[in-house]
Amino acid sequence: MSQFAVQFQNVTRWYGQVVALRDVTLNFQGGVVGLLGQNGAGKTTFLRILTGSMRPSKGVALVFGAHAFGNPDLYRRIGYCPDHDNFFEFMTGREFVETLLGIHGFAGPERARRASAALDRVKAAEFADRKIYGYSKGMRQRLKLAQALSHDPELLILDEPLNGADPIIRRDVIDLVKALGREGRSVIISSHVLHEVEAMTPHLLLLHKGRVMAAGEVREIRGMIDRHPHSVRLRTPRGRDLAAVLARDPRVTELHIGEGVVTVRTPQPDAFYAALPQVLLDAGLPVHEIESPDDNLDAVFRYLTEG
Amino acid sequence: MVSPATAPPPPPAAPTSPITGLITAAHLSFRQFLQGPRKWLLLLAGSVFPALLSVFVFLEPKGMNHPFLQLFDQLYLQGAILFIALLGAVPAFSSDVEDGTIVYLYCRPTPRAFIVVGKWLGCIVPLALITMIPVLAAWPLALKQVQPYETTTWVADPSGTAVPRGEDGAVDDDSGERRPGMREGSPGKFVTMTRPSHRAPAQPRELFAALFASAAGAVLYGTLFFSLGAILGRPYLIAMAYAVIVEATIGRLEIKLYVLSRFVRTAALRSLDPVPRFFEGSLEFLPPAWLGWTGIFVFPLVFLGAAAAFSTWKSYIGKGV
Repeated sequence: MSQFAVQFQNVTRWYGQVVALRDVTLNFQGGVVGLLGQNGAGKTTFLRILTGSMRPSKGVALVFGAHAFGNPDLYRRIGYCPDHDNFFEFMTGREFVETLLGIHGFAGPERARRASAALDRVKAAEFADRKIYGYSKGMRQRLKLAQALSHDPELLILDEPLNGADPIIRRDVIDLVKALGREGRSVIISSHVLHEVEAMTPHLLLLHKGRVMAAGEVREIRGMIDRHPHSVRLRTPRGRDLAAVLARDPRVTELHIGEGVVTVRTPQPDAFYAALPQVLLDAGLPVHEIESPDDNLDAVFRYLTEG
Repeated sequence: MVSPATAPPPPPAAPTSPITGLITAAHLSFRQFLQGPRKWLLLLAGSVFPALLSVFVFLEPKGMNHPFLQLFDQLYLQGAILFIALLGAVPAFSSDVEDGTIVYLYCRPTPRAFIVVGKWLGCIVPLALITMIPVLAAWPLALKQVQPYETTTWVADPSGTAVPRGEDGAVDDDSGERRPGMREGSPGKFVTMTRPSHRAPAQPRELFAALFASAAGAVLYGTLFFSLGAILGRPYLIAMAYAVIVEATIGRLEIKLYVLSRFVRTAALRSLDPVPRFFEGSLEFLPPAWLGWTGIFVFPLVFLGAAAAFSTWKSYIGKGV
């Protein structure tokens, strides 16, 4: 039996002229891993090959040592939460999970027991007996997770489970993924938002234009990012006053003033963030919002590809 | 290599049964069949046949040339069932592919071929039942055609003398009247014979034959459209609808689809003894009974097998790749 949960050997997948994955080779031992990539990076293709929905155009994709495509026995051990929000809308949430358990091959009371357990686990029990067409985005996310968990899989594949999720669901999903990791399950979770994945696992796999750009721990990738100047955007009604204060900060290398917005660039983001609250308090300047455009994945890839 | 620290793996997954998967897929398909506007469209398509028959019976209470069988064969069996099958069977699988919900089914241990067969069963059974409803609804109207439509034909009396030539047919020896339709030189004089041109479809055997033909037609056409939907996808529904409506109307596609309907007609008609006179003329053009029965069973198996093989072999390429 293979020691790896997932092995990709020179996996390539193309759609006509478009190459979605290029010569991807990787081994994934288990645990929780974040799959990061911009839209169109090949994340969903990667995950669909893992779930056996799609066969590679070239190369070999093995999950638990077995070929992923056309291997129904393997799918007993995999749970998949797709990124889209389409369901059998006429069903209740409970019927949906029970139906998929039935397709899985579970019958009778076992099906009902597993559905209830999965719905409880994702905190979907209270609305599980309502029709799906009335569900909010968050309820749908919970339901997708419930069906993925219901057969107790060893490997969970979650495609953008935090997309459009409100803060409560976000927290619940993050807690759930951490708990699944502690239980010894392998989880591959895709996202295009770095800090979301960072909250669940330090282990990352970065895809860019169908290639594995980097694989490792968050701090290594952060280190790569932090070697480059970092942008911080502050929204304030007193832009000129704030710019005057920040211009005196030695950590700031560039400064732009816009309509109610001051953007600075700094090569020492950690030190800058640590000092910023005190600087603002001392100056008595109101700041309504602080954001870092560089925290998003675009910036990560820009750094990696340009660096 | 991505190698996070791992805890001991959880116990292996519980064993499952693919037959349960197939039955659940059939149940799912049946529930989907009953959802949305499809069922109303199907009822509308099916109601055309009894509605038209009631008009015919109202206008010609003594019967035209057997409205029930005529409408059943030409309008229902070769027309309405086609549309009912198209509306009912194409979305049964292709809508899941189109919506992306198929991915929930494909990532399960039940083989894809079982899922396809389950989905087929779940739509084809209600489809066959639905196509029988208009036949049952039309049957009381058909029973009103109790009075046979009589025709008078002229036949030659072999004991008479040869019939001389006339301007518009042959000439009667006795009366000297011209009798259209008789050939010159037929032996003997003319006598008249009156007989019913059809038999009212009052026998239960004929009802069963009509019900069987409806169900078999629905299965045959339904499997064809289900398989096409599974292989080509739902956007092709529009193209297929166009092909059936336009091409069949102007008579090109009809010939191809007529081949399918011939199997049903053959099996249904040849199972009747005696065959309703309306169809007597058709029998010489229809293949033998065994071919009809073979066609009814072999064609759906071939179509369904193609759909199952295709879905097993094909990668699912959904939204957001």
